Amino acid sequence: MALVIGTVLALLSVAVAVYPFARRRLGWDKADNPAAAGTNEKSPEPGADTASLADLYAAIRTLQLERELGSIPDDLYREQLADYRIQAALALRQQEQAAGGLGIEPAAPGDAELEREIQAARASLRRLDSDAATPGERE
Amino acid sequence: MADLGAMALWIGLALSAYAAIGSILGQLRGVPALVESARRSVYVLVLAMLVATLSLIGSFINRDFEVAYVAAHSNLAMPDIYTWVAFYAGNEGSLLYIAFALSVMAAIALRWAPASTRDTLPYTTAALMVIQTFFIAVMGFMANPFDKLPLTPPDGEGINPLLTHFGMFFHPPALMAGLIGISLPLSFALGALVGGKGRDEWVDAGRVWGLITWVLLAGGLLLGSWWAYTILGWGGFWFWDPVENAAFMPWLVLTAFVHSVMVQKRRGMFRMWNIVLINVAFGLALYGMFMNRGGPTPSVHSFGASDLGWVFLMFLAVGVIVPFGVFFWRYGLLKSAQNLDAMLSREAAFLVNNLLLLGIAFVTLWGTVYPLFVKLGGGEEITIARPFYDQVNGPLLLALIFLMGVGPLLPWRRANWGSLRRALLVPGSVAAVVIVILLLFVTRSPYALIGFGLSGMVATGIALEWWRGMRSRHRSTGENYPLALGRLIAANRPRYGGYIVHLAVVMVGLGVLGGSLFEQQRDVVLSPGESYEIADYRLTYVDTRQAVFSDRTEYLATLEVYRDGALLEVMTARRSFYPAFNMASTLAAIRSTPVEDFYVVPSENRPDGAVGFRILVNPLVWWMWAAGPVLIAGTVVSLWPERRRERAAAGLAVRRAAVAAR
Repeated sequence: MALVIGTVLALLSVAVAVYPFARRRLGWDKADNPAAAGTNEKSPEPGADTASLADLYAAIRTLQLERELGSIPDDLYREQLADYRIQAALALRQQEQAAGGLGIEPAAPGDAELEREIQAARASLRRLDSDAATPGERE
Repeated sequence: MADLGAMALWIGLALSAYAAIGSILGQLRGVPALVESARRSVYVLVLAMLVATLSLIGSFINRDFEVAYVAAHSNLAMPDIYTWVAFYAGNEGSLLYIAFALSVMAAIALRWAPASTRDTLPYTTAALMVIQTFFIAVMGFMANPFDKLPLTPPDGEGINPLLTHFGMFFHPPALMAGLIGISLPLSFALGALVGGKGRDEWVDAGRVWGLITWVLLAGGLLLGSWWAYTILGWGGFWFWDPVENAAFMPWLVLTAFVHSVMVQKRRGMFRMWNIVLINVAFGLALYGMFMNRGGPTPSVHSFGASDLGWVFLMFLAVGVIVPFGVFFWRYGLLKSAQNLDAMLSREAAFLVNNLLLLGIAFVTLWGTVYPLFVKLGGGEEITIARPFYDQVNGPLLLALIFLMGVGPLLPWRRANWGSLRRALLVPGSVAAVVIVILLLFVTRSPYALIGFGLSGMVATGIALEWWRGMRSRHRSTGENYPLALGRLIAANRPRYGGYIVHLAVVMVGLGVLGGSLFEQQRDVVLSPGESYEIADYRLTYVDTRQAVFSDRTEYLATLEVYRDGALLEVMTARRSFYPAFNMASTLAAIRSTPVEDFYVVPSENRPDGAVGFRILVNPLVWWMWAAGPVLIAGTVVSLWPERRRERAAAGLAVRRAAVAAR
């Protein structure tokens, strides 16, 4: 019994190891999707030292919470919020450029909420671009 | 069963070696099929390790004494419930447990790795599988749990009596999984560095696995302290034993890591520092395994004499040299994205916290290795004991608690003194009140005054943060208070999970302070019917019953505890003698309340019926054990992932708020 189970385990191990090669050789994986291999996939990578949008959202939310908790005075809050918004604008722009370059849709069709979010982000980006052009101007 | 286990072990060795080599070759030569094949091998490896584990457990259940490991760690008298404990009671089985735990964690980590790590995942896989291959190879060639005896004995030697305790079901597995779990954040960091990704690609995975490992070690250490407290019979919970310290040190460094990795995640800072921290934590984990498996210091926590010491010493050397080699090789990639804006900021508080934690780890390491250096230098055998650690680590731990009170009140990037003064006003006042009350009515011990004062400050600071956040949300949304609190936590899980963990640390601190500074201890010999008074209690020893089992004789002492003349409880303290081990084990009778523990343990049974008892009154120790579930709950809250929809909603809310603020 031990020999049978052990042999099955050994055969299964070989089969699993061979499967990716067989799939390609037999044409089962026509697209030859490199992502499936966990290699060569272009991971979302903003440019040099640009924080990810998710992290920036988290940072802005924390900043707002700190203001509500009274941990941070208003002047520091405004200064840091403006800084995060510029970083968010840069990250959004790079994300859009990366998505455009790869021909990737930024959001799945039908996910209306995400689609609306992206539209809002684009509008925000345009506004921030105009802000950056006139840095001394206060709204 | 044993044959199947041995086969599964060799198959596992082949799979892990193949996964390590295949990942590297596939990535370097650009063969995606090879990389995928290697990664899938990791998933089958889980199955192989599961089969090996179940085979060994099955051998224990069948009491297959032909298997040398089963014969050495069980016997016919062992209750079936201890089969799980017997599985990892010795070197060979514990290595199998470690290999199984690592295979499961590696498979989960690789299957659900963040997208940002995908480019470098083959290197991460290779790092994990090299470690895995080491453990399986050691089992295969040096400590095989499925080795057979030439002659099958009629009965086994039995399980170590000290392991027959409820805490043993979780303490060793949690510690071993925690120590080997440090491989995961290390491998993600190494993978990123080798793959030329020197920014923050590995940080999410590093944080998640760092926290999981941290809570495993924390839970394991707490359970170990509880085990020592209830069964070792000396009434304490921490002995600063070198092997205890070996598990404590990586936890300290991981504590620093889980804080500073938040700074990298949030600000892109401390990139080099985090790599150094995780490398040091891994090195200390390997040092712990070396000490535990044939290291130079015998301990109640180690696996006894073994010839594996030099193998683990070599692995320790490789495990330190290679990660630091990669660090220096990729040093140029690790420049921080931001600079420290101000010393009065949360980032700066995290940095000081890190330095303190490393200071405590270094002091503990020095206290652990110094006697070995002296011995190697031909000096007399010396022991570094509690007074050294109390004197050196005590002030550092108090400074750490102070920082735990101040740090969370500081905002990221920059604060000003005015806002900090306002934030500290109430917690600081509470600390002052606590100190004055203690000074007037309880003690003049500086450690106690500062420790309890700081604990009050931390707890009040946390409570205030919760209250302010809940009130703010209640005002802005109209939600009732409980709902507002729930949603506040859900929207800021890492922050509020961290607060829960800090509360648990305060609870542990209360137990340590109470048990260390206010303990009352007496050693007495009582004949049946005699009483002894200690603190407000009167203990009456009633009698001892004797129960004979095939492997042990149990002496069960019945004790009555009175306070103010009223009977509080009838307790039973146990002392068992195991002739095969020539060893006695005890189980203390403990009346535990949040105020204090009344603790009695029999130390000897005399022929005339008298019994030697150690009696202790340990204030506040209950809080240490109660902290365990709180600590786990806080970590779960911190780790709980945000749903995609929540993220999207949060993003929208932020934009709306940003637009409204303009």
